[in-house]
Amino acid sequence: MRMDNNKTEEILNSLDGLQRATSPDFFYTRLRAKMEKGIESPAQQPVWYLRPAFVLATLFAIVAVNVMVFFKNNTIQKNTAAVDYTDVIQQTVASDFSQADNNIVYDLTMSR
Amino acid sequence: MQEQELIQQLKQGSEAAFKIFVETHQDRVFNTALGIVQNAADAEDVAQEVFIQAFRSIGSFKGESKLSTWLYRIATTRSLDLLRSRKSKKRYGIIQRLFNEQGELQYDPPDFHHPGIVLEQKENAAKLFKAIAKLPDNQKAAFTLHKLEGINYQEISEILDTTVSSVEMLMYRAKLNLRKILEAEGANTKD
Repeated sequence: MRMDNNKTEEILNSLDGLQRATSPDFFYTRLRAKMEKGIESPAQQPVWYLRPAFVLATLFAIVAVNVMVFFKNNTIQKNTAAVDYTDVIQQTVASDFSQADNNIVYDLTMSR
Repeated sequence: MQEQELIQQLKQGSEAAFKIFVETHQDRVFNTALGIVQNAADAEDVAQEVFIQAFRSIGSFKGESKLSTWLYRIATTRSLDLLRSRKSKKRYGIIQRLFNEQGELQYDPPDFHHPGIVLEQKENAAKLFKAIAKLPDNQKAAFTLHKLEGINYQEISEILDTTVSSVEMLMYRAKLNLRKILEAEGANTKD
């Protein structure tokens, strides 16, 4: 274990005595060329469509719309299947009957 | 040329002053970026962006800090921005790979070898850089500035716009985390 700690310390101290890295040759020339062209680095280019937030939000929206459409269709089908036509027929007949009764009363009244 | 005079000439748009400015500071900016992004081509891109930003915003430089401090601040911010950009692309790569079997993860960096490392420390330094890459941004910045550029805590606090005690804490945590990462990654196993 003591040996392990020594090794870790050795790694942690491995940057001691490091020489500063020098910039590549013709750095200034390339910099001037870049400034004149106005080129932006890849880091500067807008990659909004690659942002995880955007990708995940889009995926979520697609899934949500699909789920919504699926449930809506299911509900419509259930409602359609649940309509009992015998009730509709009965109601229509009752309504006609009631109307016919009223007409008879009206006819009797008029005949007096 | 004195720094104040250089700043004045830069504000007047002197190209000669800009050349002196770049040549004076390009190595420190490049080395700082290299330590953080751990890739020479990206570090050069960052260094160029730093000077372009400095050129554009020299008018707003109030001279409250040294030019080098100001440049270190821009270099650190730009480098960390690049890392964030890489991370988001990597995450997108993972999502892309879910839909495409041929999709390969980008930006999985190979071992980084800093050109200023002495040969006998090359392997250890590569392990350390790999661990540094896993540190939180502020710890990474503080550790890199201190170890690679030899900047004292006072100046780091000015660069990171924080207090000296915060920098001390960042360095303490950075070392603690590095030790944990190295131990977890089996740095202690015999090769």
